[in-house]
This record gives sequence, structure tokens and C-alpha cells, in this order.
Amino acid sequence: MADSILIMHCKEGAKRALARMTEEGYKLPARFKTFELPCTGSVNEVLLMENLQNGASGVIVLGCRKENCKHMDGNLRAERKVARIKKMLSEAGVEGRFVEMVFAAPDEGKRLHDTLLRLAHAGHSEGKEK
Amino acid sequence: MSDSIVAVICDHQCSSKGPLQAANLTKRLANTTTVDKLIVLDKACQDPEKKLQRVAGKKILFAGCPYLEESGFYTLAAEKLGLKPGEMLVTDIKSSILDLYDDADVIEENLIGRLESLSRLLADSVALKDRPVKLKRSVLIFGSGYSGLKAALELSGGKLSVDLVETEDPPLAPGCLAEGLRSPNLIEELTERVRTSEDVAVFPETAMGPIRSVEQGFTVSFNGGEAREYGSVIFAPERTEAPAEEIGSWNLTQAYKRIHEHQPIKGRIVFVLDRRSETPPEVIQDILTAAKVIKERTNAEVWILLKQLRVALPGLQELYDLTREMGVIFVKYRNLRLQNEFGDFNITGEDPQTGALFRISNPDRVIIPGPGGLGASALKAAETLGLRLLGEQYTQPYSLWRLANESNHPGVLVCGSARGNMDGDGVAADAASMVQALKARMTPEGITPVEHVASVDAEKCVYCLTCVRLCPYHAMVKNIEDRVAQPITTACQGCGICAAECPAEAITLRNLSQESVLAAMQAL
Amino acid sequence: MIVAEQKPITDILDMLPEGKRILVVGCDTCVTVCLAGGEKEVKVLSAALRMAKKQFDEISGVSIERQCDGEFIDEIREQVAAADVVLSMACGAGVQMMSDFFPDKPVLPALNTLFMGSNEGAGYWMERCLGCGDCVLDLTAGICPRTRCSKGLMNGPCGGSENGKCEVDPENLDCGWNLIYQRLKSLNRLDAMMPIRPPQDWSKSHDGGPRKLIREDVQL
Repeated sequence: MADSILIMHCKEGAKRALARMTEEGYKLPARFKTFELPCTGSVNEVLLMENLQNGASGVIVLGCRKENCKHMDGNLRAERKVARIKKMLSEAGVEGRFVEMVFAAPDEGKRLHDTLLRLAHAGHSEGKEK
Repeated sequence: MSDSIVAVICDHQCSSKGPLQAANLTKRLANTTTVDKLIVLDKACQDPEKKLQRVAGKKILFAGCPYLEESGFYTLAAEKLGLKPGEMLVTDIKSSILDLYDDADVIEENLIGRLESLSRLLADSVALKDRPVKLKRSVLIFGSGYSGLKAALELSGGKLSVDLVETEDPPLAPGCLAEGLRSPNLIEELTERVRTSEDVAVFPETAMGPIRSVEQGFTVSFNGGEAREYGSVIFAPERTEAPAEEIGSWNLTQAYKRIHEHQPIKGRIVFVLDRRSETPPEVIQDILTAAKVIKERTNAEVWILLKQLRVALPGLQELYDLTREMGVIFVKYRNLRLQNEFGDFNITGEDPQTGALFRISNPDRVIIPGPGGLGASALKAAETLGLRLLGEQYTQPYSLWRLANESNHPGVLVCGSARGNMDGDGVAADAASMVQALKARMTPEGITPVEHVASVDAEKCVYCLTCVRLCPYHAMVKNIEDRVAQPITTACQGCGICAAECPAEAITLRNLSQESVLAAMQAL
Repeated sequence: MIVAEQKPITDILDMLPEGKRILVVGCDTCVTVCLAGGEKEVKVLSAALRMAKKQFDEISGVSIERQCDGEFIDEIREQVAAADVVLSMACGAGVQMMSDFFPDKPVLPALNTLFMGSNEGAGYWMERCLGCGDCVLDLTAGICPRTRCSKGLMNGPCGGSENGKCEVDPENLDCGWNLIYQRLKSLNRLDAMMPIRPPQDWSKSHDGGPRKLIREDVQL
């Protein structure tokens, strides 16, 4: 699991977005892994931190587009938690690890692919992304 | 010791990379502690009954493609093998592994990881043994608009008893007015059918007494008569439109009224969206309908202006397509100014792509949809029914994904207009989805909790009320005697938001505890 | 309840000596509810410390029911013995109690304790009570003139009250005495504002060392 990038995604829009992405022929490098959850709202800071601490070099929380969360605001909650953890990691000077939030819909195969690759690349570079 | 786990995997002969190399997988899985046996099905989708004969086990992890899910293969498997939720797990390995990676070694690595990971989850899972909660088979429909009437007709005549509450004559919403142009007598016809139907009892809204909660349902009495019992309610209120805020402009309702009254509409008609706040998707639907109607019936030149920032907007693609087809002029803007000086109307704005300025001089009419909301009687009814409102909008905007859920009266199902737009087709879809959702939940057996239902550890709960406040389904309530939070298990949809937010980590989802999720993630 | 918030992690890192074994101790009562120092926060902070640029020997985390009652602190004696430094995620009372129990170990505060307050809604706490020891809420319709009035006045608003707002922050801060007036009015008790009250006896508040409350009838 070391050096892998874990994509935690919901089983609604985000799952379909990934499926659509592969249908359209886009692939991901080996280090990406995926894990399905009922809603990105069920991701909390502990889940994010423990994965990073246990060796993942990055965690991407992939949720539905902002107005599309089946459970109203799960994806927005995830976004806020990711933002807090990002800040903490940055202030603590943690290097070589990142956490990011991505929103996707089932009609955005290329954009999703580009975003995932860009994040993985930026997360691995020396300087902190954004 | 947990039950043995059998992994059943389709060999994906249809895959562009050719069928799975099962021998390697079997060997590698033999070294794990979690999967006891691997069964490979050749082309699982072909002749599934026969293929499933090879499968047996107490707990089964199925790995296949999305088509297997859609075609009901897994449902068939569950039936044939007598598997309850908690005794099986399904994962799509086609999209998220076989087609996701290039390298064969990487694919194998990930397959092993996925099977190990999910079998860990499955190992700790318990089968669902909950007894279904029975629902009273009677429905109260609030709202005698198009969707209420349609729903009443669809639900009645079977084993469900249907009562309809007739709302007072509300000002018609734009979509209804549009629908009225297509089929002028539609509402009257539907109303007549409902009134004369022996299966639907109709009551005026003014006769509605207070709601009382009973075990597994609620009661309402009309005209002070005997209390009538219900197991569910469909809330199908009218959406009214407030006036447009810009002087001299119309809202949609006014525009339609003119069309209904055969008053002339000509010249240049400009619809302005996002004027003061973001136009909700259902209103964009209404605008499209209105533009279509005006183009069809008049010689007017129709424009639609939309603020530049709206990229991922549901309905936007339709907007582009329709405007092209109909010859409606569609312009995105930045910095729009509407100048209305003594009857001299000018619209100026900037094209966001080029920065070029545009001006529309003296359009004959500017139509700005007004903010929508529920009428006063609908608001009161919602309050009486204990429904959750977002401001004055009913709580289920935008997405048709929302299913029926329970209100705070245990055992009561609530369905409502899923989209809130009042375009005829949209409303028909609403009515149909509400009816479907209701029927899906009111199975003959009753309602059972979802697999990942939440439960609260009473020892850890600090009664901070966080979960009670944020549950999207109002499924968490205060247990006043024990001073802890408690889920209404048939209302819980297993989203896990409560578990994530609980400050005391007192909430777990069944078959998806944080520990097992972490362990499963580690095993990937 | 007591409301506290986590110090910025940069400050926490500055406090902690490099290369040592750190025990992070949470508290399951007030600071859990205000999302500052409960079990979850212990796990998250511990993970952050393990991955931080500044390196430590070993980071362990544990949480006890309350750090203001010795019986609970007793439960973790062994874990404390195995550490060089204790990072307490409790309120100031808890940090001090822990330090009393383990005088030979540095006990550091991970939180800034803010106030006694109420939960106004999800994620929103507001200061309500100063602990002045001389409650006058009966006279002011349940609105505290110490916490809600910027000057802590006893007899009505000052000249800086305009449109119901306090001049200290006219956009966001309500004038406490205006609030008191309005509520007394709705209770039909404006007469309560008439008598001139003497200045508060601040000797009942924090004054000359820690205040104590002793109930002889309960002491053994």
C-alpha cells in the first residue's frame, strides 16, 4: 500500500464517473487504488489521516458534483474536512503526502482523468501543490 | 471464527484484453487468510442459472462488471443461494480494475488486493435478520395539482387506499400554465376523474384537522369526523412564482397569462437568467418551455441570457441544443446592466469570452423568472405533517435520486416533488417517481433497514445532538429516557454522515465499521 | 459547557521537544462536544505529529472520560510512565490536574480554553458566562450584562449603543443592554431596570488565587 494514491469515492455519482472514465478508454497509473463508500460524507478526518500515516502517499476523496449529493450535503462536508486536513498537513510541514477533494459527474470522463493525474503529479513534486 | 468466504469472479471474456488468467489468481489467493475458495465463471452473463449451479457458500464475494448488476445477475444469485444482505458483497472489477490499468501484473495485483480487501469486510459482516416493519396501506396525498392528481389515479384501485387533500385554488405556476396551453382541459379532466373515482376520497384542505402520530403511522380527521389512519403521505404542493424584481419586466407567470389570454407577443423577447441569484435548474426547464412556446406561437425574436460562470449546470446542454434548434439566440454574459429609463429599455453586457460589449435596445419584453416558493397553505400543511423544509422550498430539490423516506412519525413514508419544476413532462416524471418510490418501500413484507443502517453505542454517546441535527433524513432522534441518540432504523439510508461527524465516535454503520473500513483499505 | 479550541499545530510543534516520546491525552467530556480534544482529535493530531517534519520518538494517543477527576487520570499511569512528555487535549483545568498528578513530566496544553458557553447550532458556540460568582440574571431577564455588554455595565446602555448595536463592532455585536431592555419589555418587567444597582462585587469573581467550593456536608 506504500506510495499508493487511494481514491475514496461514493457509490453514486462518483462511482459512475469512474466507470464512465474507463469506458471512454482513460486509464490510471498503477499506484492508484479505489475504495467505495456509501457517501463521501462518511469520510472523516481519522480515515484520511490514518491512511496517510499508514503509508499512502495521497488520498483523493471523490464525490458527486456539488448539487447532486443524494444525501444532500455529504460531499460538501467531505470537502470541508479535506480542507482542514490539508491545512494541518501543510502547517506541520508534512512532505510527500497529500489529500484532495474532487467533485465529478458521470459525463466528465476526460476532465476527471486529467484532474486525477494532475493531482497525483503535483502531490509528488517537491514543492507543495497550490 | 467467521464463516468461510467464497469469491466468485467472472472471467470477463468480453474484455478487450481477453479472459482473466485464473490460475495465477487461485494460487495467490490460496496464500491469503480471507478468501477460502475462488470460483471462476466463464461468461457469467450467459445462461446465469446454469453458471450459478457451480456456486455454493455461506458468504460470497462477487466480482463482475456493471452489466451483471444491471441485468439482475446478483439478485438472481442472492435468491438462488439464499443469501441475505450481509452475506454477500458485489464489486465491479471491470471499470475499476480491468479497464483502469494497462499492465497485466498491475491488474493482477489489484485484483488480489480488491478481493482481499473486500473479503475482510465480508468476514466481519453479519446477515440482516431484522423483521420488516409493517406499514398501513393507506396514503394521504396533499395537493390537487397535476402531480397529486396523477399520483392519486396511479395508486388507487389496488390494495392501497388513497385520500386526496384538495388545496384551494392556487395561482397557477408557469409550468402548469404551459401545460395548459398544450392540453387546455388537462387539469379539469384529471380532477373530474379523481372526483368520480370510487377509490379516492377527496377532502378540502380547509377541513383538515391536526395530525396525530400513532404506532407506525399517523392520523388526520377531516371535518371533525373519525380519525383516518395513514402509513404514508405524498406531498405534492404547487410552486408559486414571486414577481420579477426588475421594474418593467415580467415573470413567467405573467408571460403565460398573456399567451393564454391571446394577447399579442411580438418583437424581441429577452429572458434574463441569474439576475440576482442563481436560477435553479427547474426554473431553467420552465424557461426552455416558455421559449419554445413563444417561438412556436409567435413571430417574436427570442433571446436567453445566462451568466458566464455556469459551467456544470444540469440542463445546460439542453439549453444549447434547443436554442440552436429553435433559433433562439443564446448569449452568455458578464456584467449585465438593465437600464429602464422612462420606457426606454436597454440591456448591455460583456461577452465573457471576447470581452466585447453587446447591447440589446428596446426589447419588447424582458422576462425574468421570479423566485419560486410554496404557497401559504402548502407551508402550513408541511408544518402540520412535520416535513423538513429548506427555507420555503420543499427539501428535495434538483435530483430525482431522492427516495421516499420517513418523517419523524415512525412508520410514515414521505414522498414529494422530486424536482419542483412545473413543466408538464417534468411533473409527470415527478408523479411517476413518487409513486414508484412509495411502491418500492411499501412492499407486502413491509420496510427493512438498509444494510449499512446506523447504530449508536449508548455508552459512548454524549448526547450532543450533532447527529440529530444533521441527518438528512431526520432519522436520528433523541431517546429521552436513555439520554442518547437513536436511529429510526427504517428511515436511515446508511449514508454514514452521522458516523463521520459524531464527536464521540459513538455511531457505527452495520457491516461498515470504521475499523473494518480501515483494515480493508490497508489490504488494497 | 467549557469551550476550547485547538492551538495551531505550528504552536504545538514548537512546544514539543524533538526526539522524545509523546503521549497525547484526550478528554471525553466538554472538549469532545466542542470538537477540540476528543478521541477523534487525539487520533488526528497523533497522526499529524507522526508525519510532521519535526521528528519525535514515539507518539501514543489515549483518551479518558475527564481530566478534571483524578480517578480517570489514574487509569493511564502506565502510559504516562512510558512517555517523556504529555500533550493534554483537555481544557485548562484538565491540563493542570494532569500536571499535579505527574509533576515529574512536562504536561503541555494542546488547546486554548476559551469560555463557558452554549451551543447555538451545529459548529457554533458562544460565550455566555464569566463565572463572576454573583449572578444577576434575575434582574436582566436572563441576559448577562457582564458577557453581553462590552463594558459590563450594571445600569443600562452607554452612549455607544446605536440601532441596537454596540459601537465596539456595530455590524456584528448586539448591545447587551438593548437586548435586556427588549426582553424585559416583552416580559412586562421594565420596572426591573429602574432601581440603580451598585457596582458588582468582583471579589466574588476570580480574585486573589483560585476560588474554591467546599461542601462540608459531602466531605468525608
